[in-house]
Amino acid sequence: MNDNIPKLLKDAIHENSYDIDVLTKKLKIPWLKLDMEFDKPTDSELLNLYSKNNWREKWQFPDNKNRSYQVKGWNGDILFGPTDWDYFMKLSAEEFELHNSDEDSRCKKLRNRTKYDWFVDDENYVKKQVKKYIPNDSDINLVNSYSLPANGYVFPHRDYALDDMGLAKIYIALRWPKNNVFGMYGCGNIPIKEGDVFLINNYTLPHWVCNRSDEERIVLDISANLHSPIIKDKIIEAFKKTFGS
Amino acid sequence: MTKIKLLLDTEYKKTAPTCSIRSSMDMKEFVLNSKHNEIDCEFELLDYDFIHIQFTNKDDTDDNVIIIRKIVIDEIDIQHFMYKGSFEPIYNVDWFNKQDPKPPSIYSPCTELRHNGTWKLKIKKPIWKMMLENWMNDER
Repeated sequence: MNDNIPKLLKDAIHENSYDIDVLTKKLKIPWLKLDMEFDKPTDSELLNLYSKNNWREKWQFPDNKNRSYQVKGWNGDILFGPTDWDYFMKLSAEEFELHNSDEDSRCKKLRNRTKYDWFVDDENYVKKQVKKYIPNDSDINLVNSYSLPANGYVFPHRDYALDDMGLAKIYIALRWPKNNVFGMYGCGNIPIKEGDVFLINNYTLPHWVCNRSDEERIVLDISANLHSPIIKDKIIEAFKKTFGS
Repeated sequence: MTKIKLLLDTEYKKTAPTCSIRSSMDMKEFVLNSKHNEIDCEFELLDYDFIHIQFTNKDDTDDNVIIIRKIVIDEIDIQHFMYKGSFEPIYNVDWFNKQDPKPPSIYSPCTELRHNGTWKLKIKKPIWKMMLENWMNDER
């Protein structure tokens, strides 16, 4: 092989490798299907994930009092996150006063400013499944469930983050009855089937969800350090598989 | 050690410009005797470092000048990224006091060193990656 070429080109050819920040932040890919498998939850494990609290009130969304007409039935519970909620929200208000940042990016940004922990015990289904892929809690920013009842929906919207986040949300379709839609503007619907795990970019494009089935839809959302060893490998593997790289 | 090559042009009548070139760990001094000077040296560089070129003998009568033409680090021409460098002059006090309005405290981009002072460029190793990341993050 003739290596008599400029050093910049030679280094680029020989040293080029996969960079998680490039894949997840620069490319603006709407989603990647990850080769990850969560054990099928039992009915009682799913029942524990039907959210009863008011997610929008908890996060102090501006329109939480009036039950925004843009959201019907969508709700969530935190399984891992900040333990001193009032303090977290105070920090959050100080840091994000001028920004409309979503829950994942707030938890990521404030990860080292206050204590985070699990709100469920070691035998909890979700905790055991998450630990398979992210064994170190310091690599987790937020784990929460999202439930959407039959005929529930979230209007088209776009989420915002502070630091160029793109592909960031690990999204696990624990219960995904037929006729559920996760639409992404200009890209069709994310091809989610029950049990799938996707890495989703909710920051670049408007998106929406709608449950047109007769049953509850349950997903898990994980905001994590995408450089953590197993997750990093899964993202690179998915990128190679999707783009034939 | 990392190879660094600098092409520095000069303008002067009698007082050849002198400069010191520094990284965090190394320093070398040069007298630029020609109109076109090619400097080849090796520097110890940290992963994140600065290249400094300090013009040390400005002669206001001679009006000597150093012009940075090209910078090659680790055998890679850093091309237009040298325009990311900045020059912080140390003005001749008498000259400065006569100026109205006052000249800036820093020039960027700047490749012509017309006063004593230090030009510096932030670098990151490996250089090939720094180049590609600069292109990637260029939002023009």
